[in-house]
Amino acid sequence: MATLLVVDDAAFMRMRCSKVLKDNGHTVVEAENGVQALKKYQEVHPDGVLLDITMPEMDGLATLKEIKKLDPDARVAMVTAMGQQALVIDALKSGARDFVLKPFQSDRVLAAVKKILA
Amino acid sequence: MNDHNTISVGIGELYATRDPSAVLAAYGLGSCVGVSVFDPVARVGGLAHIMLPSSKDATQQTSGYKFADIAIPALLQRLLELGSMPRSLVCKIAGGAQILMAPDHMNSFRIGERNIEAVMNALQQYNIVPKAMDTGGSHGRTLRLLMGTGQVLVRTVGGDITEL
Amino acid sequence: MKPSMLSTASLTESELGQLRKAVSLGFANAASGLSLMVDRRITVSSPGLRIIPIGQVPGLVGKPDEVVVAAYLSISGDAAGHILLVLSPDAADDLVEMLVGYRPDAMAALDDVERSALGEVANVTGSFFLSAIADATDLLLQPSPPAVIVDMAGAALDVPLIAVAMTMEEALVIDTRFADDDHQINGLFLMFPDVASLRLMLERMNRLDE
Repeated sequence: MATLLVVDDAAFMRMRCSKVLKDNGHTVVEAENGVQALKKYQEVHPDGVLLDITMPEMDGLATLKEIKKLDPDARVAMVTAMGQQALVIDALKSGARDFVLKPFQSDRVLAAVKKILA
Repeated sequence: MNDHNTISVGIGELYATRDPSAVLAAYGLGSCVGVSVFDPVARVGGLAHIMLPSSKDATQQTSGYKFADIAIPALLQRLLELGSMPRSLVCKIAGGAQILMAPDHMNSFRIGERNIEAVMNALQQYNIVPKAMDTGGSHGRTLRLLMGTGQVLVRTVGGDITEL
Repeated sequence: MKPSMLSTASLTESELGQLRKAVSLGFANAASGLSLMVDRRITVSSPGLRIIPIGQVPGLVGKPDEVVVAAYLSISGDAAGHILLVLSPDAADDLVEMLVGYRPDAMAALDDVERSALGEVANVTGSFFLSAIADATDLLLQPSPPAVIVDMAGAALDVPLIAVAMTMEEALVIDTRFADDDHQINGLFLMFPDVASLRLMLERMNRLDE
């Protein structure tokens, strides 16, 4: 189906998210932090990105902005435990198409993927 | 280990005694340094549990014994008052680890290392060099001074107990 | 409640009440986050707000040389502080097993996935806690990525206590115990707010109440 880039510093979360996506026929590429995410984005040109916010070195919001600089049409959904209004608004303003709150249910993630790929 | 006369010397505390049945203990030393000083002739000993290198680091007035530069002189003074002889003192220290838990900016303070340096410097003012040290690394330790024998035991998080 | 730090920060009884209320909401939110992660009901105790000498803080967590599993995150943004999640090694084992599907061989040698599972528990509970406070105060509160260690309780408290010790004799510790109905999952959630930040939070809460 689609190639998706999953970005999260927690191995556990990457594993969880990847499983849901792979079980539904998608191809998954993983990155541990924002710097890696940008590198992979350029290498792989994924159809969509699932992006955590709380990460070392470069957080998800900064990463989102950089991805958008690389590719203004980048399709990104934030997947994060940080649900503060201010952050949700910032992310959506910066071009994220969806905002999934962790801990997520599988169908919520799949719905987000559908939305960003649309 | 017989704990019935164990005196816990907590962060920023110090304790000196002549009681041969006492065990002085500094528990869970991370970047803190436990300093034990014992006079085998006078049978006097004490322990300080130091948390920060220098009282000059404090941005506000706070009381002393958590700072190496204040605790060491104070401990030695107490021992003197109890009858110790400066030349007999045996000093052993443990702790000063860097617990790998903080965002980078806190790790760069390197408190553990600086505590060890500050303790060594403070002891040096009295011509004391520690006879044994179990310091550094990234894990916690507990130091115990057994007043009956003057032995100093260090327990690490793994559970091993060694004599310093 | 000792007056020393309170008087330094000039916290009144009513401000303490406000703080307690906000923190209760925060902890309740944190519990719901954990609940979603493990698919079990999680309850939290009424929060403790203590001002105690730094040296007594390790004792809150257990015997100071008791080995614990601790996940730490720092708070930044409009306010500063520290959050620490503390579990016994057994409880941590249980929690990892629930999340990951297998029990760690040894807490001392957690693999990447196990360690990050515990980190993620701290991330979710910490983030949910901060989101509740952030939304109540209109402040930006960001958690750092979590760090997980297995060590003696005293050592696990190093980072927050040193930060506090730079300026204070005593620590303001806000804590709650959390547990599922079987008490299989149980632990302590500690928060150390920076005193200046506390001022700001209270002011914001007041302003929003008006």
